[in-house]
Amino acid sequence: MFDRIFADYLLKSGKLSQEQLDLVFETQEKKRARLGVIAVSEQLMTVEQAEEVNQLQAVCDKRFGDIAVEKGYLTDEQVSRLLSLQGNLYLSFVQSIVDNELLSMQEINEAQEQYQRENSFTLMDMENLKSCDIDRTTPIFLHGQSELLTALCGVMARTTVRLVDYHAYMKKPYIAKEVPIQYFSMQELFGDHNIITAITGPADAMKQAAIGFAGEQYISDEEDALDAICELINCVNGLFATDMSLRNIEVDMKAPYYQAKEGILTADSLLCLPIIVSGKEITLITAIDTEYSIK
Amino acid sequence: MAKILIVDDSKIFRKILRTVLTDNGYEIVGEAGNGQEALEILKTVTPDLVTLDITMPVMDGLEALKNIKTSYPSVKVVMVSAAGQKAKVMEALKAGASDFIQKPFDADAVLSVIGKLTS
Repeated sequence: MFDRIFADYLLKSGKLSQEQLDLVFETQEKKRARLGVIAVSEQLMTVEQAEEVNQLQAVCDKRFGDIAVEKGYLTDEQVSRLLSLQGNLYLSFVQSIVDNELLSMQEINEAQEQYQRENSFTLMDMENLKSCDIDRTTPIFLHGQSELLTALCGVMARTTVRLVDYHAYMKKPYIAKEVPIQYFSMQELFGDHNIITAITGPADAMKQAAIGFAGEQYISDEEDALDAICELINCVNGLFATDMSLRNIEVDMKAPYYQAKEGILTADSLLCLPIIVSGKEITLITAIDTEYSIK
Repeated sequence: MAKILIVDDSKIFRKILRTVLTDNGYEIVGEAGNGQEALEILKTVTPDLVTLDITMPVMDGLEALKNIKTSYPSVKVVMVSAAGQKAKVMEALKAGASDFIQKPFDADAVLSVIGKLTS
């Protein structure tokens, strides 16, 4: 995820153009293999086992390696070895910039230090970001927010990367009392806590996310897109509810709904997390134990 | 081939399920957006199997299941759940559901569950 966050920074700070970044991404993509592919090529797993784990990933909020270990297909040591073979996404991004002679290592390091200063990140924060591990990245962006909402945003980030866009990334969250909504999908959770989970964005961004989740052949209009985003939210909330039940917190889901008209979502405190999916920005909005209204 | 009624409030989910099932020779005899609509359709057609989403507005899957099993006991019902609905799935299985599938589903898993129940 940090490779895309830092790419966005390099673009906005004028150090690289979009065309140059596209070239970097292309080089990076060519060099990187998925963990399942590496596991099969290393003859540690069969194709069927890798496919089974991929399928399980779609319905449970776990990483490929964790599921493979649980199923007895890989040991922890083998997963560590495969991860080192796969390489770090950020490092492969930096390598691709250098290989294409777009920036020197010195220039990249300076840009990285500038990014760190501008965002007031600690060295530890930077280490966690550069690990490209979503579980280590999400808390940095959501530092100081409600523990449950941070957990929910973490599930959303992991699920979005897994089921919508492998290169999705988040921007800095913000708290608001009023959020203008455009195209809007939402679901309420009730039980030990009342939580709302919503996604809003312009029509093209919502459609892009919906296509990533459901497949282009199923998304013919805006209503399809909003419906598919409802299903994505439903999946995320289901996974979140499972996580919560392990902490003895019981929450259940109401039927999700959507609207395709402009309005304003109002509550005492709305946590808004911009997520870039296929190059377009949607916003995850969550709130806990608060009254809300949509006008 | 078996006749199937798809019940889900998500039009997209119905579209995906319809495609998967018709591509594999099943006949879709109807689609409903909630339990009440499903019960209306069941007055006019008798499917071999109903896929029934748990979380729906108006009438949810559990209530619809109980109605279906009372009025049409021979119709098999497969519940469709999100993760995190284990308790409701268990309740549905006790109330007469034959099996369940979890969203987001894998086409092979759907065909395996429905194939077993309709063969």
